[in-house]
Amino acid sequence: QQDTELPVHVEADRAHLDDRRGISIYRGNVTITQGDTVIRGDVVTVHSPERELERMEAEGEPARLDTLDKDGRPVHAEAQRMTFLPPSQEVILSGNARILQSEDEFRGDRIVYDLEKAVLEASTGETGRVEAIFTPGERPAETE
Amino acid sequence: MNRGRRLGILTLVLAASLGYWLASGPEQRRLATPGTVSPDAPEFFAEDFTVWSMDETGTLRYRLSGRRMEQRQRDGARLLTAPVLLLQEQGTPHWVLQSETGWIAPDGDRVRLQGQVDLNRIAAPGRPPLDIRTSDVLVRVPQQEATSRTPARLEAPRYHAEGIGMTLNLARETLDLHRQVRGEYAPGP
Repeated sequence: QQDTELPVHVEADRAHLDDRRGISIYRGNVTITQGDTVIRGDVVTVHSPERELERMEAEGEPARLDTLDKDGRPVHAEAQRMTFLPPSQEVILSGNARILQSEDEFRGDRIVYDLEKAVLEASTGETGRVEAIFTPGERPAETE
Repeated sequence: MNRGRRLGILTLVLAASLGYWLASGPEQRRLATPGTVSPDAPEFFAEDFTVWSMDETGTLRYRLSGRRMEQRQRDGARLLTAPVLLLQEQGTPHWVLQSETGWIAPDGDRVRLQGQVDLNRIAAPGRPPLDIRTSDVLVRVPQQEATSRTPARLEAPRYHAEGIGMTLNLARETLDLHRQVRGEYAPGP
């Protein structure tokens, strides 16, 4: 089953739900789970106008994301802010954003990560720097 | 007069007094000593009732119906059986709160709903209905606020949430869940 078809679960210490505005704010040890994707933050704001889940904004010191790529390899990300878009299965990381995909690491001020394709697009902020650190794959054992 | 005869007369007198007391019915016994009327005796009671309560401007504060309402002599508080409380704020869909039993403060500003409590906001254009199930709720009518310390569960199309302890503002349509919150959102269309 595609993750997009799975319900999104939220756990937190407390919550303020505003049905008229379609905004819910979860506070304290917040965990969002959908399939293999888990996002943790201190505060998560959920936008669901007329009950359609649109986006979930996580804030933390940092907020953290753990998921698996399409080959089942672990992906870990951290940022001060994460916006999770369940309909398109994208996560927008901003503020000291970094992603570890297997052995490789990407840093930037803003990173958009596609959970389904495991593709990321990093963009600079004022620092004007995007860093990518690739760990060379293990060289095949030399045969005598 | 020897001791045996005095004892006999005393026993006869006691038996006669006891017999007179037993012979007078419960009603006489109560009337006989008005000071001991039960403080919880009803001043009046109504069955299968509906009450419309207005504020000082004549605006409906709430409509209350139920199987039985009893007003207590002691303090004017009203005890309710199977109450159904309708609360409406201008321009917003109304809420219907029902429970097994209830109590209304003498001034009518506080309503306590006891046992299982269901709070339902009807559907309105673009606004699906909202259902909350909890127990033992205190309603502060002027503030349009309902609070409970017990587990509460909100059910709505495509979404539900639960926690322990709640504060519902019926006018602003906001719900605070105080502890151990779980929520679930259905995936997109």
